[in-house]
Amino acid sequence: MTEPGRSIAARYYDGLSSASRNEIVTLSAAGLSIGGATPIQAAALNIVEPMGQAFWQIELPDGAMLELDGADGVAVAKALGHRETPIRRWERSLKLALLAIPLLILSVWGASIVAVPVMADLATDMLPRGTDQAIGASSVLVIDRMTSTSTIPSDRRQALRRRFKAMARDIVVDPPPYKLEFRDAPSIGPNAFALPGGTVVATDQMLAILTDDEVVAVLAHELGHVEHRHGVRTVFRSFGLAVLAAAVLGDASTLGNVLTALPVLVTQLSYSRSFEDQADGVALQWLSQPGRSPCDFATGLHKIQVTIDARSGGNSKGATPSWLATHPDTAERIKRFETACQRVKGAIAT
Amino acid sequence: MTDQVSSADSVATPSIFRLKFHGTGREYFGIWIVNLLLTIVTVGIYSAWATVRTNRYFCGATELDGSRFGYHAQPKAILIGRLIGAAFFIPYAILQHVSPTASLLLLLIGLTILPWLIVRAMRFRMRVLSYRNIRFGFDDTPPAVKMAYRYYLWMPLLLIPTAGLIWPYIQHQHSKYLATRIRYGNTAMGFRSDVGAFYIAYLQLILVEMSMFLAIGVIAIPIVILGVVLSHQPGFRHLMHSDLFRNGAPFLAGIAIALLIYPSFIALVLAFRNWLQRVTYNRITLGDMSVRADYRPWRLFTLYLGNIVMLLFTLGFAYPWVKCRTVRYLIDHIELTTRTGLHQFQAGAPDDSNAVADQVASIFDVDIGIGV
Repeated sequence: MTEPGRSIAARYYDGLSSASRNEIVTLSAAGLSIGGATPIQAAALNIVEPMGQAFWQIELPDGAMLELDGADGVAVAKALGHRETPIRRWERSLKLALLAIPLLILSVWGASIVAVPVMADLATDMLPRGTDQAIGASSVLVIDRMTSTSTIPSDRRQALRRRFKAMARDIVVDPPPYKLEFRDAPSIGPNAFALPGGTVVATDQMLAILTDDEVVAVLAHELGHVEHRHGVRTVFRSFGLAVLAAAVLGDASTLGNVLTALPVLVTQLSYSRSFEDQADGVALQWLSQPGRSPCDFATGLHKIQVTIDARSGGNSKGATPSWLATHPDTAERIKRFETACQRVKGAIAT
Repeated sequence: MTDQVSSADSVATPSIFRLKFHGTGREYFGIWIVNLLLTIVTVGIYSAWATVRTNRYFCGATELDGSRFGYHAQPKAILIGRLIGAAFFIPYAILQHVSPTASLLLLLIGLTILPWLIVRAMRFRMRVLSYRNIRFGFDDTPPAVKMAYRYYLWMPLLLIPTAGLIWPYIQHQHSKYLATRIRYGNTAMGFRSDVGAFYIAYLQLILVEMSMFLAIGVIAIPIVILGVVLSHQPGFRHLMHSDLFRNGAPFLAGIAIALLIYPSFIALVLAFRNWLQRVTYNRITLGDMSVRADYRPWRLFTLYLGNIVMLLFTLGFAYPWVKCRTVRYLIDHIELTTRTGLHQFQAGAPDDSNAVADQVASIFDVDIGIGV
């Protein structure tokens, strides 16, 4: 340890020019003396703790600076009353740094599973429902560009619109100006989707293979998305994930983009699957009311799946692993409604 | 009191000083992982402290003639800057979803203050750097801002009528503008203009890219021919029609292509960035000192390709080692030649700079394109 009176070699920079001067510093009860001059009190010195093993620096009151090599620096700093900061101890200890790895993985995982959804939902709830339409406006344009005017006879469209309206009043607690659009979409195929703001789009290709009851059952699922504002939630969650990815990446942008693209995608898909699950729940509840049947959703979804499989020229099942799918497994979704369907049928039989 | 001036004092023989980087992956690993963890746990607040600690580490690990560089930014100043930056950025990000037209309009408004931001950001970045207790600086006295508007706002408009051919010239003007306004103490940097060198660098890039496409063709064509030949073999045809092959093969082929070609192009882009920096560095002077960066293009390329492979195989945890080996190569290959030495630079006037513009600029991802 540095006993008072010991001489230590240091470099001196006066702050006026870039000259570097070797000096001998001595420590005493009165403070730090440079080259035998009057000691400077410890309180007037600013000790700059190095990062890693760089030199220790001591800023002097007159703007000059002393630089001391590693071991000498530690000794002088300690003698002058400097205590190693906890953050430096943490950064320098291999054990503590390794401990940070599981903590890091846990906190990133927790942030993407809990914090991002919770904060996105908070933001969604703070936003009045009226703004959903503005958020959906750009996706309406995209859909318009990808599709063309429906060729479904107008009386069938009218009938479906009437049933949709009645159903929307049931399902959506605080109804925005919801509406049902029909579009011819050969490139999309049999499908329906809900846009933020209450617009539900059904493709001609879906209407071609489903009965009206089945179409209404599928639209019930889409109204589940509308009711829970999944579109807006997705926007906020994507934004939250982007912020999280930016925090993890820091300055490693170009290389990091490659590395984080997959985890971000996988997380987004898990959000999407949970939304589909929730929308299925809404549809199931509505279809389980007297006078309606969950069977319609099961048969409708089955028909859509068969057509999509035929289009892709094979068995689409197994082509994408479950963690890379936007929707939960179709067979499982159908089974959920089948079970409810059997129950309703049983109830009618007895 | 001995004057520690190296052999550089004699006027006749120029002496050469090499920069040296002392950082290690192991040392930076601890700093990096703690920064990351605290940044996430504090919802980003700690990022200001993390930035300062990282920059302090890399500056402190860089040695020139026995002295280290210093970084002196205050985390609180950076935090305030980031909060202001976020206050602009978050509405912009949300507006992108609500109305792309309105967000584009906001971006255009942002572009008009970009040159001013660049000047402020450079001032801050240089001001917080030191060597031997002498601060660097950036001269922002008029016409600095006016010239920034010329080079960063008006001149890029010429890219359209010239079909982009003016870009190397614009980059030359940017380098010249920034370099000649940087100060070490009260000594101004100089820049030896050479527009041709920038055009040559881009020509080299185009030649390398063309030969890369050629190489991909040379590798891909035999594989395609092999595939066609094999598909006529009965046994192979059976395999091709199996479920596994139909679903798995395109997926695997996609991954193989992505793993081979994509990293090569990323490595090329990153290597070229330094190759262009070399052109700038080699034209910088400070007093009678001249700078030389002797980067090798193939070495830069393999350096970055190795980085990508290391990052992929360690899921990113090799980042501290990757970062340090990159910085070590870039720093250790810079040398300074001077007849008068490093001891005679005088300090400039004191200056209070703030971090706000620096961070507003960085959150909008402005690449000022200079620095080590």
